[in-house]
Amino acid sequence: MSKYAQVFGQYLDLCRQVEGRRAAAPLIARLNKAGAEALGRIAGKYRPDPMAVPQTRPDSLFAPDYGVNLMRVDLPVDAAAAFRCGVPNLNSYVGIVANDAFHPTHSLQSLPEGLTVCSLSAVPEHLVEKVINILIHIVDNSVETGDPTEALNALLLSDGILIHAAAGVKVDKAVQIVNISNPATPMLAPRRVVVIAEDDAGLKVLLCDHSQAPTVEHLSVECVSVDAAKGSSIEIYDIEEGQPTSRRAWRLNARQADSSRLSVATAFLQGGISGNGFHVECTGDHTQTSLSGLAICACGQVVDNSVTLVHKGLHGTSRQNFKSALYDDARGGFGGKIVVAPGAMFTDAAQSNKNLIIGDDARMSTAPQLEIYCDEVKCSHGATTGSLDDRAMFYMQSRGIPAEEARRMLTQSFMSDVVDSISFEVLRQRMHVLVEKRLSGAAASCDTCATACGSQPLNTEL
Amino acid sequence: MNDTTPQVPATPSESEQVISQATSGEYKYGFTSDIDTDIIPAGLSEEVVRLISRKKGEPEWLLDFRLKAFRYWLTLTPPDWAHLDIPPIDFQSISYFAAPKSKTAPKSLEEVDPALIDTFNRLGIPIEEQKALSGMAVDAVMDSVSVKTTHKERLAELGIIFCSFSEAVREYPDLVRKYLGKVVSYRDNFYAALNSAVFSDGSFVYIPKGVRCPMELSTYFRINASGTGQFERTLIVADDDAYVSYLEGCTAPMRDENQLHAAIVEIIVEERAEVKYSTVQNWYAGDAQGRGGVYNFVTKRGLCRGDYSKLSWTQVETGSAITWKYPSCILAGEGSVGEFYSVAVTNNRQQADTGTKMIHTGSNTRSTIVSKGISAGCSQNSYRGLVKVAKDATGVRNYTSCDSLLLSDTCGAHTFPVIDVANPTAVVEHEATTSKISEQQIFYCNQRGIPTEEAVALIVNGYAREVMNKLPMEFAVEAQKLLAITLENSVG
Repeated sequence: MSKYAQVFGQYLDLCRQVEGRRAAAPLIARLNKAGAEALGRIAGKYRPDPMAVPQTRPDSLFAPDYGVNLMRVDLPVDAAAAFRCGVPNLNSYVGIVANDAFHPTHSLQSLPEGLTVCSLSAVPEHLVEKVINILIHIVDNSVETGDPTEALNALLLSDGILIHAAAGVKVDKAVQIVNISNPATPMLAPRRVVVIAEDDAGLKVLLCDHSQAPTVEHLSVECVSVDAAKGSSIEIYDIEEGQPTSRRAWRLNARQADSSRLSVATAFLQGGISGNGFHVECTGDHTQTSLSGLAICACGQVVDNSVTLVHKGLHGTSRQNFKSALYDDARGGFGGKIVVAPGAMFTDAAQSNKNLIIGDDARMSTAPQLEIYCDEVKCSHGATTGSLDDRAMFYMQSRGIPAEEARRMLTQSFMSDVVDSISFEVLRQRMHVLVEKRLSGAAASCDTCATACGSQPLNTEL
Repeated sequence: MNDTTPQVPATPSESEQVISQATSGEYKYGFTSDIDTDIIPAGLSEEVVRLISRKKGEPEWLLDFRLKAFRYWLTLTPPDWAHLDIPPIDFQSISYFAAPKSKTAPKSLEEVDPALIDTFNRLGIPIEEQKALSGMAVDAVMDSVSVKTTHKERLAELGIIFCSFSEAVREYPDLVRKYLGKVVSYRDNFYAALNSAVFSDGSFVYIPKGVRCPMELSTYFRINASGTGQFERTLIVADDDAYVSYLEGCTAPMRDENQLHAAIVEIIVEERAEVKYSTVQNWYAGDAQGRGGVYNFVTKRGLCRGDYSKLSWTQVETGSAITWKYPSCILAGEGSVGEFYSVAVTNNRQQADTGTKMIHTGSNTRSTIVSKGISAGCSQNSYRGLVKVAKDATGVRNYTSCDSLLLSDTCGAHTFPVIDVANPTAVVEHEATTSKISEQQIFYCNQRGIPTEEAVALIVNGYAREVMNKLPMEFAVEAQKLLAITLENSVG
């Protein structure tokens, strides 16, 4: 048995030991089964992606022997005391995931008609088949790509969240999911958010990752599964503010139908090791996709963003913009692939990855890729890696701005276009502040982060 | 028709017809020279390696080198990471050595086999003419054994060594031993190990300190005997302050079965020296259905060891059924410069996965990569590159531009660059675009009285010009000719 098969096999063994004793809803049980089958097939043939930063590869992230709460042992978390949340002025529907268990808040009690936010254990009857079909399709697809993360998540999942907007329902208020890691012992927390927008529906989702375990290594395996139906619009924002002990395997799998719009923005402000994967399939015509990410890393932090964007329909448009600033001995990675399938005529795809290396021991690996099987397309990608412009630094210093301040201002301006691409205004304003604070050395703590803990207590009791 | 249906005309436009015409040309150089060759039986074993070495009368140390490489090769499997669909190759069905039977070195052109002279004449590059007109020194490699070397005397006066690899092993064993395998180790990759074990011949160039080679050095490779692989090995050493421009061109006769070509080129550039290496590669690409054609799996690498040294690769790749080739530079000397200019044209069912590696380990090193891919027919054309900046290399600068031009809706154009930077003072830029010849461009030319056929030629020519300009004058003519053959009737 290869060493990789052993790494992933340990989780299969674990699940076999408790087989028949896991108390899971039928939907989750079916997903567990599909995950087990897929993982079994991937584990044997797994080969690590040579482009990925080694620390963020699944075989590295999943190698430690983490505890997994398969038997749903009650881990008491005082949600009200621990999580107080809300971007100032942000009026949102909030759900909290403590480690791997979903805790709805009172704001989810009064959802508008057509919007469903619930646990995957309590999916309304008429949506069960749809949800399971979407998830099983994603898990099966992962066998082809050879990435075991989706299958592992499906195998270990005990709870998750469904966000569903019915046809024609446009929800202006964001649905905010706050993930909190607070384990007492090294733990793996599988989390899944399923976002479905039916025809002409509109959704905004804000995902915030927090950790309150600065001394215990913990891994969150988060999968966001997105299905954008005809004419729908989905915006997803993901903000990571973990601890040096945080490990994250994050995957976004999305499928877009005709004339749908998908916008995903991620921000790494604090954390340990974070491997993020985006897989977007534009199967419909006239789709619009925007993916962006910013990462500010220091002190041994590692962030790797890997994007696969597949254009299968006609007239698809996509834009990717990823930026990172690496301080100290941080390590960054970017792997971006645009695939234009045969017949995907009139595709217009652009990808940009720009990186600042500021620390003497920092390192950045970039692999922007194009795979084009169709001639009537416009595709481009650009990547740069470098330091701050000496002339700009000199210009600012010659006008009396100290070097440190000049560096911070230039880095902030470097990051600003990613932040500006956030169309959600309240969040955009908040992100500008967060980036500024992060760059000025203020640790992103609960009172400076997007979740703004301390600003208002949250009532998690229904 | 609803609004989501593509606005594509039902019948192919005039420009599409021209492109289709232009890209369906048959291979002109597909002929076989009837020259008596000495071939050892197919198969590869330690005994075959010993036999090759014995036939070439090699010293013990070289046999040891071959055997070490062979034993290492046995532990390897062919690389499968490239964006290529390579049918399984039976390495035991290949004959690893084919040498023209007449072994005595000819003293004049009259002594050379007339059929061989005829072959070069049909290629349009007669040795005699080249010698007289262009002043180039030509070391013609035909099925692995160097047959004819010209201008040797003039080069010898300057202390320049330009000879076949076998001759270098006999005459300058210390030099060969000093440099062989120092840039491309036999442990480098599967095909490098194979070549190190069975290489039959190649060229050796040594430019002594302070010498500027007064002429372009040129080698013409050509696969001739059926079922034989060509495993040549080129070693170029430019000592301090030396300069040389080296040209390598290939054409191969038409064959029904695939032929394997696994070469190694090693270049060492010492302080302030400069080497310019230009290639025009036009191995037989197979027919329109993808039958036959050469597999071109080549390892080319240069080491800019000295400070302020420079290595420039220019390649025009028009041939081969499958190309797997990444001419690279290791920029170790302070302020050394690496350049890579490439035009890769694929047509019919050709597959090319080519690019470069720029490994910056020295401070203030610079590199430029310009890659132009042109895909037609059902071909797949990939650029694969690596720019690596080591931790201690300060002030590194790299600029990469790779563009792809698509000439049919069934071909593929791909870009796989990797950028790995571990020093904060480095500035590395990469940009890539993919597009087709637009109807507007054709229309613009048409309305100014330029026929569509010429317009396509004009656009493709202009597209590749940036790289073509880097070729030495003598070579540029041939390169354009080969480009014209691949995209027949549209270019030239």
